[in-house]
Parts: sequence; C-alpha cells; structure tokens
Amino acid sequence: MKTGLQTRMERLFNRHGDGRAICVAADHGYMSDVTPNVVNLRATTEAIIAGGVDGILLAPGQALRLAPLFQGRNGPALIVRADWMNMPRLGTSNVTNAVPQRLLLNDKVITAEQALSLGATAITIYLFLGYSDKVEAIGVDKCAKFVNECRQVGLPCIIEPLAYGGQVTGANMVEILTLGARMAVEIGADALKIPYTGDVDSFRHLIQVSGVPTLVLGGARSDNERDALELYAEAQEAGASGCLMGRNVTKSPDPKALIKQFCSIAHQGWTVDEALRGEAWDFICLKAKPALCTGCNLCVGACVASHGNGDYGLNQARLRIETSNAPGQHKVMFCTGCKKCIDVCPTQALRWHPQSGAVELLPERCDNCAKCVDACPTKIIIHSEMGITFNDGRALNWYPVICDLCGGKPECARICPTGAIFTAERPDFSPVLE
Amino acid sequence: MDLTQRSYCNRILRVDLSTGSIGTTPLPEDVMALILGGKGLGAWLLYTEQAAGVDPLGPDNHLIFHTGPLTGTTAPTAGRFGVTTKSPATGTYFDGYCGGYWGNMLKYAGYDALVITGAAQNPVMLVIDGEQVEIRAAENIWGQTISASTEKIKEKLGDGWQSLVIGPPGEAQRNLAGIFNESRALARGGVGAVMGSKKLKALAVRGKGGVRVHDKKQYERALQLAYRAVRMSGPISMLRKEGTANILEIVNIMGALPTRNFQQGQFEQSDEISGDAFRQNNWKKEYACFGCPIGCGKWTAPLEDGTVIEGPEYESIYALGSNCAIGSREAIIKLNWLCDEYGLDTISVGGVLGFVMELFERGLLSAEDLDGISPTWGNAEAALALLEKMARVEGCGEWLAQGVAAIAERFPESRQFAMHVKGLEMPAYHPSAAKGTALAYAVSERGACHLRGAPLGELFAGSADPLAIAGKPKLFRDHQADKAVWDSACLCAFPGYGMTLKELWQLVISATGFAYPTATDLEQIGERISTLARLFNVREGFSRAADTLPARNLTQPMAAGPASGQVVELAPMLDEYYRLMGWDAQGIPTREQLKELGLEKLVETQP
Repeated sequence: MKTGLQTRMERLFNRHGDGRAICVAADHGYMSDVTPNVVNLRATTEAIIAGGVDGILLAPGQALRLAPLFQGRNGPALIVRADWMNMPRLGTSNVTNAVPQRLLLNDKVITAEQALSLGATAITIYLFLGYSDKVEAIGVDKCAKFVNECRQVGLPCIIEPLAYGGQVTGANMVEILTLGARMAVEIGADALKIPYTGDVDSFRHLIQVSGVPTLVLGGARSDNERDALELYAEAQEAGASGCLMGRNVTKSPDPKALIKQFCSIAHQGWTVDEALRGEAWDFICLKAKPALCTGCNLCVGACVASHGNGDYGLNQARLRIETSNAPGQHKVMFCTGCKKCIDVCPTQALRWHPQSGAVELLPERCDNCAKCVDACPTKIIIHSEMGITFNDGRALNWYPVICDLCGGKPECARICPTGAIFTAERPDFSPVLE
Repeated sequence: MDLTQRSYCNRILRVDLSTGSIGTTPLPEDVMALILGGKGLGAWLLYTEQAAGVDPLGPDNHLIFHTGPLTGTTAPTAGRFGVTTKSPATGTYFDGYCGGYWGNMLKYAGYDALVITGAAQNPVMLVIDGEQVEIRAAENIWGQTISASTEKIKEKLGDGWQSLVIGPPGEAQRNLAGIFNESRALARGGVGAVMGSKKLKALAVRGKGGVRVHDKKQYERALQLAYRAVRMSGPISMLRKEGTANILEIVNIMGALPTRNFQQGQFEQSDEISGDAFRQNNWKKEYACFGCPIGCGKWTAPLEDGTVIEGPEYESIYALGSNCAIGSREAIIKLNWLCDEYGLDTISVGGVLGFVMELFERGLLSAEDLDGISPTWGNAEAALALLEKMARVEGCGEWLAQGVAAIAERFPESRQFAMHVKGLEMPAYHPSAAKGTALAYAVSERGACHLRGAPLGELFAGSADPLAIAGKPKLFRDHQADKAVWDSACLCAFPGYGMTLKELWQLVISATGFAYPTATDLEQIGERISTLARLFNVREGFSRAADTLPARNLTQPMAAGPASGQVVELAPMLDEYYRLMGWDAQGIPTREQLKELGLEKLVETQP
C-alpha cells in the first residue's frame, strides 16, 4: 500500500514537478447555505479546471456527480471531504439555518475505501482545537481511526486543524495552530490543510514543526483578489506546498483567471504583481465611482503619508473627498489628466512625466503664477507649504503641488476599501507633447 | 525618548474653565509604554490627577478626551478617540469611545489628550486651531440641537473643522446626555451632562499637523497585514452589508434579544427589525468613520416626513425596538433621530422607555405621572411623546432623562424591574441567556457594558456554550484585557473581527517602537489598565456589593425560549474572576497583583 500512497501524493503535489499544488475547496454546500457559488458548482468546477487547478476538494455526493470532470491524464486530483461539521451554522455568516448549538458536532461520513472508489486521490478531515478538551479528544480519536483506514488502502489523509473555540484568542492563535499542525502529524497526517498564521516567519515555523506537505487555506473571501494571491505567495515563501482556496476562488467573478494567477505564482515563480497584471499597461490613470465612496478619507491619508516627510495626516493632499448636502454622498476629486494645467502654463513648467504619465512640474521653469491652480477643473492643484531655492539664487515662496500618480502605483487606489477610486489603463496616451 | 517620533504628539492640552487658563504638558513619558495611550492614558490621568469623591457634575471632575498612538494614521478605524471622566450616572470611572472625524483632528492639531477642569460661568465653546486655543462665548448656540449647533459652528468657522457638541439634555445635566460629533457619539454614562456642568457647549478643532511613526517601513507592512485580515473576514463583510444589526437574528434565535424590558429573550417581530429588513427597506448608503474600511454605518432613505438618520445600529434597534416591543422600523428611525438630534444615548433612552412601559402596564406609573401619556407595550406614539419630553427636558422628561436607576429611586416599588448595573442601562444581550456577558455587565468598570470584554462570541460565534458558567471568568478576563488594548491603541472593536491581537501588536510596536516581545505581552497592558480603572472605583467606595445584576437576572428564571428557566449564577463566576485577576474576595486588587502589574508605586503615592 506504500506504493499507492506515494503514487497519490505524487499525483496531488507533483503534477508540475515542482512539489506544489494549487487546489480549490468547493465543499461548502455540504455545511452551510446554498449560496450561488455552491449552486453553480459544475460551472465553477469547469472554470477552475480550465484555469489549470491541480486538485479540487468536494463532498462525496458532488464527487460522484462531477466525477467525469476529473478523468483523463491531465485531470485534476479529487480530494474528498470525509467529515461533516456544524461550525458554519454557529456563526453570523449563516443565520438562515442557524440553530442554537451548544456544542460543536463533527462526524465522519465516508470510509477510506468508499473515497477510493469515488476516485479520490486524497481525503481531508477536520481536527478542532481550542473549543474544549472533550471536543478535542473526540476529534483526535476520529482522526486517528481514519488515518488507520487510509493507511490500509494507501490513501493520503490531509488533516485540517482549525483553531476555533472559546480558548482561542488573537494572542494564542498561532501557538494553537502550530500545536495543531504537530498533533495532526503525530496522529499520522500525510499532509495538512491549515489557515495562514498571518506572517511568513510563524508560518515557516509551523511548516518546519509539521514536516509534511502543507496546503494553506484562504478563509473568507476578500473583494480584493490581491489579498488571496498575496496570502498564498507569502505561504509559499514560508515553505507551503500549495493552497486549498475556497470562497476566494469559488465566489470570484472569474475563477478561471484567478486560478491561472495562482498557478503562475506556484508553477512559474511569478510575483503577485506579475500574476495580477497578466497583460501590460503602458500608462495608468485614476478613475472613480463616487457612489461607492463612504467618505472614510483613507485615500487622502494614504496620499499624505506617501509624500512629503511621510507623516500621517490630511494636510497637503493631492486629492480630496467632498461631502455633498445629500447624506452619504461624496465627490472624489482627483487629477483626471485633463491637461488644462499643462496647456495654460505660460512657462512650459508642466509636462507629462515620461514614465508615469502624471503631470510633472519642472520647478526651475516655474514662476508660480498660479494659472495652473486656477485652471484646474477639480481644484486639486495646491500651493506647497514650503518654498524652494534654486542654485542660481532664484527662489519661489511656493510652487504648485500636483498628483504624481505615485510613480504609477497610486496609494489612494491601493487603500480604497470600496473601489470608489481605482487604477485603470490609460489608452491612446503618449507622454510626448505635440 | 522622543515621543513625537513614536506616533505621539507628546502634548496634553489643559484647559481650566474656571480660571480660563490654557496650557500644555508633556505626556508622562516614563509610563507610556505601560499604558500605551487612549484608555490607558485616560485612566492614568483620571486616577493620578483627580481627587477621590468629587461631585461628577462639579468643577473638580475632570473631562478627559484622549487619542491613541495609532490615531490619525491610516490604520483601520484610526479616527477613534475616547473620553474619560467620573460619571454622574454611575459615580464610577467612566470611559467611552467614538468614531467620526474628531479624534484624528485633535491629533493633527498636536494633542494626544485634552483635559478640561473647572466650570465656566456662562456658556462657552473651546476653539482649538492647532497652536491657537481659545475659549469663546457660546450663548448663541446654547439651547440648540446637535445638528443646529454643528451647522452654526461650521458657518462661523468655515471648512476643515470638526466639532463635538452637546444638546439641551446635556446642558441640563441629565444622565442620558451624550457628546456628539455629528451622527457619532460618546453616548453613555452622562458624559454630556459633565460637559454641560462645565457650561461647555462645544469643542471645535482643526489641525494641519501629522503623526510620525517610529518605523515607517515596518508600519506600512503591518498595515498591509492588518488590512488583509480585515478584508478576509466573513463577520466584517456582514458588518459592511447589514451593519451591526446583522447579529439581531442570531441573538434572537439564541433567546438573548432583550424584549419588553428584559422580560423575554425573543421578539416576535424580530424579522421586521433585522439587519436584512433594514437593508431591504430603509438603508441606501454606507457611512464610514475616518479611516474605516468597513463602513458599518448606514444612511437611511428619507421617511415620508423627510427624516434621515445614520443608523439605526443594533443596540439602538434593541433599545428603541424590541425592548419596547416596537416592531416598526419607521418608529425606530424616528426615535433614533430624536436621540441624535437632541444628544441622547439610544441605549439608555430605550432602557428608560422599556422600564416605563413595564411600570405603566403594571400600574406602578400612571398617565398622570407621565404628563398624560400612556405608554403601553409597543406604543410608538407614546414612546415618541416621552422621548420628546426627555429631549426638551420638559415635564416628566426632566426625571425620565436621569435614567432607570433614578426613576427606580423615585418609585421604590419599581426597583425589582429596574434593568441597570451601577446606574447604567443594559445593552442588547440578555444576561440570563449569555453567562459570560452577564459577568461582564456585573463587573465592568462603567456598569452594564458589552464593550469592556463581554465574550459576545458565546452568542453569535459559537465560541462557547452561552448558558454554561464554566470557563466564562477566564474567557471574560482574556477578552477584557484584549479590549483594553484596542481601546488604548484606540481602534474601533470591529477590525478585531478580522484582525487579531497579533496584527494590532505589529501595528503598535512599529508605530511606538516600544519593544513588547510578543502579542501576549500586550495582554498585560490591558489587564493593567482594567485594574487601574478598578482602583479608581475602589477609591470611590465600590467593591463586590456593587458587582451585581438586576434581580430579574439573578432570581427570576427566563420564562421561555432557548434560555428558559435560566438565571445567572453570579457568585461563583465572581469568585473565580476575582481570583484570576488577583483581587481579594471583595474584589479589591491585592498588593501582590499591583506589584505584578507595576502599579504598586502609584497606589502608595495616592490617598
């Protein structure tokens, strides 16, 4: 049976010869609500297979139904969820079918042999930590028995330690997860599925302590897909052998593209930026959807902190949020690249920056006539607080301060929590002035 | 150590309204690493500078506004600030926190804290324009509502200012009065009354300065991790979607939604007032405080009469809704509007209304007592009429706006139905159906409070059996320490539904340069600060006898629902909690424990 185990571990973790596997967990319908991503499971599954996914985690029934999708030499590995639990019903994310649970329930629902007959390459099973010793003892017993079953048929057993109960605090979370990882391996896990600890160093420690291939899970979906990619890239840097992303992929508007991005990080060694870009933009511009703006002013704070002396504040910002009279309505005022300031400048002190495409001030040509300040339709060109003195002794007591697009990576768009201000491609643009 | 390079301003603005003197002092540099700022700074200043036994509404009570080291940066929710004073409602140490846009502005003006002492002869406002600070006459806005005062200040001072104001109940020094930054408030405990007692109508602030963190590169990295944790959180996405009201359904299912003045734990019209119902029918836009990536606030579509509010949030929905058996969203919005407009605490107002309704139904209060108003259960019109009386401080409103405890004093037979702890009305979790939360209500330093570490996860995150008492003192103790750290760094609690103490620790060490070796080390700071608040209360004469709950929770079993038959077994939890905290059987911190926490010297030098 050792051969079977090895073959299956290879199939899961070494499809690309790099020891890494990008996997997706799509077993949610089994334990929580019938959300859209669960209803369209076939479509989602097809999309992520087209994106090049290495393994998919399904509940037994769906594994049976979707079995044809896994066939063929290059088909992804099937991972079967071997137990059920009621945890998602205890939380606020799922009140529709919530029941006043007093204790965590967690039951095994399939044998190792049955999983094999479904075509499973591996199975996964939970190990709950931090709830109570009683729950933990039941969990350890369940996992141990199941590991034995798996051993007999050569099926890799992935244990998923979850630090979840009342004993878990922000301060001890990493400690509990690390202990859980080691416990799972002591029980006999062949691989782990585990949440990210939040930083590379502690996750590296966890992986070293466990000593088996580790798949990082994603957790709740972020609307910013960069988060999931960054999380994975960090986990990989820490030594993870791949990921088992759930909602971050299945709830994505384009799961296929997202999986491709994951795969490019895992199998081609791309950075998150490279993976995200996919195609190159020559020049960017800022755009806004003011209806999404909540008025939090993080964009303004981020702008100030990334310029000047780097202090955090709101003064000397290069964009502004205007609150209108209608409650909750805001205007996002920023440089639109309209060129009016460049056109109006009598001394040709303003031009497009050749690399970033932002408006650039050539201070030595400026005689602070303020024509640009007056011409700016969004009134975002401001007077500097400090003056400037040139080598020839000429001095300006102020000069215009204009958005520099942060050199091509605008901090305002990066921090905006709602997408009210964002970066877009700037088509048909050339920084060369006629 | 230069604290201005460690994300502090290193200046406390001190204003004595009796003498009109204005000055600044540096922060207590040698203790900053022990108390961090925010709550810790407020507790330190109140304990070390205020004499014992002062009249909360007298000139000797200090009104302290404070920010934390992270305030004013781009950390999630870094606009937050707090107030610390001795409460007229409870007679205890009292701290409260508020979002909005005022806290970051105080920091940009160059102050970590503002200590107001004394009392003016005539109505005044304090105008802080960076270095320029002056006390100005405020007769022209005295008597005006929150929005009218705020508008007038804006007209007078122009753009770029943020103000804190009180309404007529605050001026009249009522216990239910809060301090408001537009739609956001330091609502509880009568802090508005303290401001009113000083004849201080408003605090306007503008600042153009900045906050310099200790290690910018490390701080930016910590920010990235913090934001990711916030973005990748299911509970936080629920907060964005349905505001704090997203938990109403689950709390109701758990039998812990206080209904009809805590006679029940489930409300038959809960579907009408859930977050989902408000989202479907009333809310049209998110509101975010400064620097908040969540946006749990919600603007309503105008009612037929044009009323618009930012809210209601969960606590207000319970207080003005289920607690009064009111299932009309429009009525709740209207009641909430009155509270915001006149500057009243929605939780305490709802506590009073529910209490009065029960007393009226039981015949302990009559329409004659209530200026002809007959507040039967669910009677929204009567509730509005009573609230208007409180808002204008007229007729029965004069004593109603003093809160449940004061009403119970006035009508002694009503005491057994009075839902408050130490004079503070109860928040939206029925203690008999959530035992860890019950313990938090009983011992919190400011009376019945759900924000001083109540382990609410027992209700809506399944983190423990809500009806069991085993393990709850430990759970509460840990949460209390955690929460004190958040309040001292001075961030809102809600990023903490995604971030953990670890992410907060990464922010704190890079901002301050204080070398706390691990996240766990912050917990000791939290415990130190909670203990400091306890020491203040001990000095004021509070001990075990005051750490109690209403009779309804201790002796009358819940009649129905999942918590049917439950009462709170408080004594064993208190024993265990005191033991864990290193306090004696009377709840007084032992000398050994104070030594352990580095507070021993402080107590020796104090009376």
